[in-house]
Amino acid sequence: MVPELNKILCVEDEADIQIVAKLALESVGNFTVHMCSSGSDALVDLPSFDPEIILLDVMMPGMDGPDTFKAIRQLAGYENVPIIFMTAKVMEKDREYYRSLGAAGIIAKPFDPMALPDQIREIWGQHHGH
Amino acid sequence: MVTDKEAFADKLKALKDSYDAQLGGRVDALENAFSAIGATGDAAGKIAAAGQLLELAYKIAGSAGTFGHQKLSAAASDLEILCGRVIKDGQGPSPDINKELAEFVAACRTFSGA
Repeated sequence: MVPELNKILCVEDEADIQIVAKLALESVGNFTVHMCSSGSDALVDLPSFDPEIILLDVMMPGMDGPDTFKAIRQLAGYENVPIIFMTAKVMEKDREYYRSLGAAGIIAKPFDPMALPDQIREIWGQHHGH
Repeated sequence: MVTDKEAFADKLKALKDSYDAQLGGRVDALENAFSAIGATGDAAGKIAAAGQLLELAYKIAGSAGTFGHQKLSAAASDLEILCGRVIKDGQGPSPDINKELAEFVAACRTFSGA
């Protein structure tokens, strides 16, 4: 049985994408969403929000997606929280790298706002063996 | 009565309008970053400028399609990949590559509609 997914932390530096992702995840997906503009903000907010899954942009100023991924994995209690990379990187070698880090999934940008919640639920289900 | 689906569509439309209003400025930034590659004399400066162009292209590639600009998104993605090759090569773009970069930047302008 796949547990219900409720809380999503989304780490994205671009304001337009933040707004549309939050809108889609809340309005279409009925999730509770917390947005962070940077990897460092995500590390600060993670314990208080305590998400069940994390959406992580790859290319961000300062701490990028992979660096943020590695930092999250160092935090007690978040060694196994599923993390999905969202990226416009289309090269297969990039995707292989994200998978090698242990990403639960990769969602291509640009994304369809209507389809985004279902994409996340599918990865959530796969993560729980379904 | 406005349904949730209609309300969502209205909000999405407002976001698209806001994004579209900024597109001209985003493509201006792309063109400026491309010009900076040519204006820089040494290879290190050209690579740094190509890095800035790559970041701008990546952002457009990742966002434009979400707001209905699929062709712009694809052109920006091509530009980003080519910038990545330039950076990996480390020498600065050859005349042929520079021409390709210029074509992708021009395509972004065309597909932006701005």
